[in-house]
Amino acid sequence: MAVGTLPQESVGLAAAAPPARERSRAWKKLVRNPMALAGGVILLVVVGAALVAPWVAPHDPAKQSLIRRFSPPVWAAGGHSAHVLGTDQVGRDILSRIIHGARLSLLVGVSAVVVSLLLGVALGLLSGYVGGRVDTVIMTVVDVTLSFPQLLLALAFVAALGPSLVTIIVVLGLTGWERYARVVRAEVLALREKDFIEAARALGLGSTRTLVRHVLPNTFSSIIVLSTLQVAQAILQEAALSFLGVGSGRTYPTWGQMIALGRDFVTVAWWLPTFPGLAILMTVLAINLVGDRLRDALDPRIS
Amino acid sequence: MKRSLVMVLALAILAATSVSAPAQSKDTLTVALISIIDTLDPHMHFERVGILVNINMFDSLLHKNVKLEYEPSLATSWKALSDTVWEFKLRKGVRFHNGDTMTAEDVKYSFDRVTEPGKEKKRSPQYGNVRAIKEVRIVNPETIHIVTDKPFPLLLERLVFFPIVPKQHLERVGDQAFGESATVGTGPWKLLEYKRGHHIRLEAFDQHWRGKPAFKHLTIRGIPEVATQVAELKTGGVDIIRNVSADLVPDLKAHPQTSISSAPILRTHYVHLDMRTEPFNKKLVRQAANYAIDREAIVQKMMAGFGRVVPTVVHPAAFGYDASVTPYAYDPKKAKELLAQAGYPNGVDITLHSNFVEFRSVFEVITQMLTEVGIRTNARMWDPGPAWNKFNVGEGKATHGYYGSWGYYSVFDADAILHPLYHTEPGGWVGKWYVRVEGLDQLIDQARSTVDQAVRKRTYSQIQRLIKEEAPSIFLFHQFDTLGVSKRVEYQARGDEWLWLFDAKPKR
Repeated sequence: MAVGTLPQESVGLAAAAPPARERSRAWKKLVRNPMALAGGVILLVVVGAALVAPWVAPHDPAKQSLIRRFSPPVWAAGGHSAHVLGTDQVGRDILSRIIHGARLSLLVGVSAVVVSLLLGVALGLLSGYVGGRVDTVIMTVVDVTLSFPQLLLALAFVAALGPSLVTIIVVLGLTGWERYARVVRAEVLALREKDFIEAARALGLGSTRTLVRHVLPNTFSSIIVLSTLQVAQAILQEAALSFLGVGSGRTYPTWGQMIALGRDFVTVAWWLPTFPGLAILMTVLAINLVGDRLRDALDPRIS
Repeated sequence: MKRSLVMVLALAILAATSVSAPAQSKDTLTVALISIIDTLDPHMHFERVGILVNINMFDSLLHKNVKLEYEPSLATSWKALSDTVWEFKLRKGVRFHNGDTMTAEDVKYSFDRVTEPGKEKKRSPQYGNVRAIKEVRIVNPETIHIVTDKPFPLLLERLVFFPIVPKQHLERVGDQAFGESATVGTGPWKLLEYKRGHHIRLEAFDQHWRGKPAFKHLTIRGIPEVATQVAELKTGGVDIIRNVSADLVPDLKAHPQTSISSAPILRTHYVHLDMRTEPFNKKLVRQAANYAIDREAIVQKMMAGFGRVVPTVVHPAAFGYDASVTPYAYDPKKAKELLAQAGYPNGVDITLHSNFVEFRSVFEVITQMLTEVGIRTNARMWDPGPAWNKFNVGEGKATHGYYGSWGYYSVFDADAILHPLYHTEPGGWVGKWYVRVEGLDQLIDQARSTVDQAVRKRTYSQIQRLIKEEAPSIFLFHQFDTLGVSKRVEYQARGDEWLWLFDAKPKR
């Protein structure tokens, strides 16, 4: 290895990542935006709740009480102070279940995105950088996958493999990678012709090294933005699958499953599906707010 | 972002409401069932959702009125000639939907296709019901004799649902077409359209011997979600729904368009335990599971008293019920002790299955009660329909067990549940997959092959004591038939869980 790491300064333009100054400016822009801040706070609460669920949840989420079935929220007539958001059809505390449900929702959301990110970025880099027949093949696969409704594809997978937490994560991961592949490929196509890549090549760097050290970091901002949106998408899809009865297949509460089970009783106990529905709404909204503003902040064209 | 919001909204809307069907015309009666049967052939299934359709398209030799007394149907009179021979006089001039006249040949053919004399392997899952029938003899065109191999005390009960099918027609079109498109009976309604998994449309049969039913059209819709059924009932999309949860009864009673009709029925709930495998191959674990369940709390709190605890699976209204056998007490401490004794001091993990969506909450409660004593239960809920039947009944795969119910084929006799659930012969139902209790087969056989009711009663007492001790199931309770009925229709729930829609009348 004659040529070690390519010193960034020596190439001048080598923006492997935005310079520190630029990054802190983006951060400030993000924090100053009230919408992004609100989204961030909600997100923090949700993540915090998921992390410390067993300690903050007022009750065991599986604990049933046949005497306290259909207890309404505390502010409604007949509400009980022990169950702030009421209880469900078998007397379980809804607040506790929502707090615990955050765990599975976030776990599935983040894990699924990691799966699709790894797969999509790798294929996108390959497709854009190598080009030619490889590009054609990968992009055809992407087009075919994109032409299926994502939920339908996920349903088919789960039906074939049987519901489990791992299946759900893998399935959502495998149905979300195409977006990464597309975005990354487009970025790579543009970057490939840039001077600093030329320079890296001229200095004798191998393809792999150029790709990983110089092309990849320049796609990060798009990947980050896309990931936030994809996490939200995955959370929704997990909820939809749970709602359709092909969720994680476990007894651990999830928001989608709570909506599905509560739906039968919506006419006599509106709070059963409403609060988990709101939890999904708030979380997805928060992630989207942060994601949108993050994109704006990272976009040098918007100042 | 926009798309995610739309999805959230869609979920919320799905949760809150349901798409309603267009209002129906006056002469149509629409009934919702949780699923649509795979075949309309009345001899080739064992499912309530099929029976409820079949009874409105076919007639049997006997009928029961709303008070559950025998009434003539295709047979106008009957008498026992000896312990093993019964004589039936057939109704004259009865027409099938295709115009053929019903004959003694058709009656004989109907029995033969279930019992299939001379054939080892029986195709009909109802074979176990009428296994005792050795021969159907045609004496003259209006008279038949039914000959049983041993005295068969249940004969008349079994003939209330034993549809008579047209021999010539069936031989011409074949079994397959008969079950799908060319279904022909003598009942009040004839087939217009059968869309598997979706709906069945029937039309009143002009030449039916009872006369014309009040509704010209009868539609049966498969609606697998309880919430959708309720919404459809309220908005006039359907007129009758079954198995209304006790939690929804006050709501439907208060609603201006709907009413509730309820009757105690034979349908008995149980959790069948898979005795072939760990941990339920151990008697102590099965007993522990029985001690873990607070049945009374479930009946009172979950079912609003629309049910009653049963000591075993034998219903108090069934012949052979022994009141001296008492239910398992709710004793979680004892359950834990038994579990430890059986070699599971730290508990054990199991899976239970069910497709009983109307009682999903009860299933959740049962699994949690088991979990609390250390039988940590993973609940697996299936959609009602073919996949479940194949999995659970066709292949017997429901390790470690399943929660279900049995409606006795509406036969008020202990045999009607003991044989299908516990007998291990190939012609039986789920017993052959899950149950291994020594001596039980012989006792069931013994009780069904004598007409000496005292002997039968004694044998059933013996069986109930045996199964309580051996605990092949978690014994639970029986339920009421709770129908949600549209205010535009007059119909009463029946004690035999039939939807005999000939009795349904429009209200205005």
